[in-house]
Amino acid sequence: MLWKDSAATSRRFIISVALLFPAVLIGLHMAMFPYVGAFFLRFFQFFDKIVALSLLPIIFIAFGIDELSKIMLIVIGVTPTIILDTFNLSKGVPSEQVVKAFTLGAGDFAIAYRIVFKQILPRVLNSIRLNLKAVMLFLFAGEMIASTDGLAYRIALLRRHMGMDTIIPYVLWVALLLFLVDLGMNLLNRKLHPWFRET
Amino acid sequence: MSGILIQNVSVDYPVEGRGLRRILNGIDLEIEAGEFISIVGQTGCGKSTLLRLILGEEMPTDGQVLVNGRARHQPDRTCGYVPQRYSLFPDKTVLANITFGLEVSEFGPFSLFNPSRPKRMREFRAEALRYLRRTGLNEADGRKYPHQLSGGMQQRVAIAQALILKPPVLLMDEAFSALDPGTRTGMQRLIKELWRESGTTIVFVTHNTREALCLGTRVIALAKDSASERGSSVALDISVPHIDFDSGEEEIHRLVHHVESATIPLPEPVYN
Repeated sequence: MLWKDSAATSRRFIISVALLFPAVLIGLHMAMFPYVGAFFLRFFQFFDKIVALSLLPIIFIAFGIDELSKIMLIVIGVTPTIILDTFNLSKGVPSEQVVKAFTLGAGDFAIAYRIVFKQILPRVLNSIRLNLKAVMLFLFAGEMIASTDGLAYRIALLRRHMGMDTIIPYVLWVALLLFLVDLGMNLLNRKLHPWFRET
Repeated sequence: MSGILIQNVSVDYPVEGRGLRRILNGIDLEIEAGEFISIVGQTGCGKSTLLRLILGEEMPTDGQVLVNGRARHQPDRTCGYVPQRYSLFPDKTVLANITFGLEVSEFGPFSLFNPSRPKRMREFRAEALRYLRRTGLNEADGRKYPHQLSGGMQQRVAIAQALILKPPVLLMDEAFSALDPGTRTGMQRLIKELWRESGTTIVFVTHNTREALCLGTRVIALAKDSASERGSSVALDISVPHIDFDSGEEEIHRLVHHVESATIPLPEPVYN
């Protein structure tokens, strides 16, 4: 039962985290191309303030009660934060670097992807890592309300029977899984960006 | 026409709630190809603004700036650039920093799948190593990341990174200001040697009059515009005999005094 629930929750978790990467590209483009930024910035600043859980009824009506709604809850809850964070990180790259790249013959896309994106990537990964708990929180909310499997579903189910002998190990298991993911991402970040640790 | 032509250039900056502040006023300057020009002046007099105009990063409010006979609206390969800070890309090794310009100019932003890339990259690396050695660094330094180098070494790499593209003009904005005196003198000698070898036009901005005199074949001082009394700067083309690093201290002191007395301290800005 634990493995089956872990697999179901992990699948949703991985899909949700994968969906955060397009958010990174949106944030990057908003920062690098002024017209994209002008179009989206206010929208995402407002979108970020919407309490995702308050949208639960609308999400269930719009996307049904299967997998998509749970993933959409995470997307709505976490992507605006990642978009705005990437936007700010991209804007934080010193202008000297951008001017220098232009003088070396780079165009707008080369600067966006080969200078700015590469420099902010370790910080973006850190940002995603620090938001994993929020991802899990929204995933748990979705699973507790409308699901037939998953770690949160099992906790919600056993709550009715006061099944503490299962709930407490489940809670610790979730914490351990998140801790390992966090550790893994941190190690991967250091491996992929050896220059980052010491700057 | 080669070289740089600055014609009647003025620059105004908006200051929130206080109208416009004129930074530069009616600057006229002609820089011949192959010259080494030092621009000197006090902090806030518009030296870096003038450099940004030549670079194409900013547009003048009035007048025009032509580089190689062409007005530019964005920095490009015509002018190499060595700023005081953030010269190098921290995520790339020293060699990757130097080859970046060659690579991106030939292959564009997404080059990984180009079949000729591996061969060309080997050639670029060999060329980069040549420049690296010329600036006093070695192959082992080429494998390091910028944060593993000293400030002086970083600026050596930044110069190699700019010169490998053989730009007609090299712009240096307080490039040695953050270095200790010993390293600074070494860098000054190096840039002078590289200028003699390459024939590149160099515009060197500094607030250090002594450095300006030792490096430049001509010294341009930015000073208060006494005619307008608006706190803006005009360019004074100061005629000084050429001196070198080995010139006598007395002679250098006399010339430093000569240049600095021409650049009257800037008054408080006047807004209109």
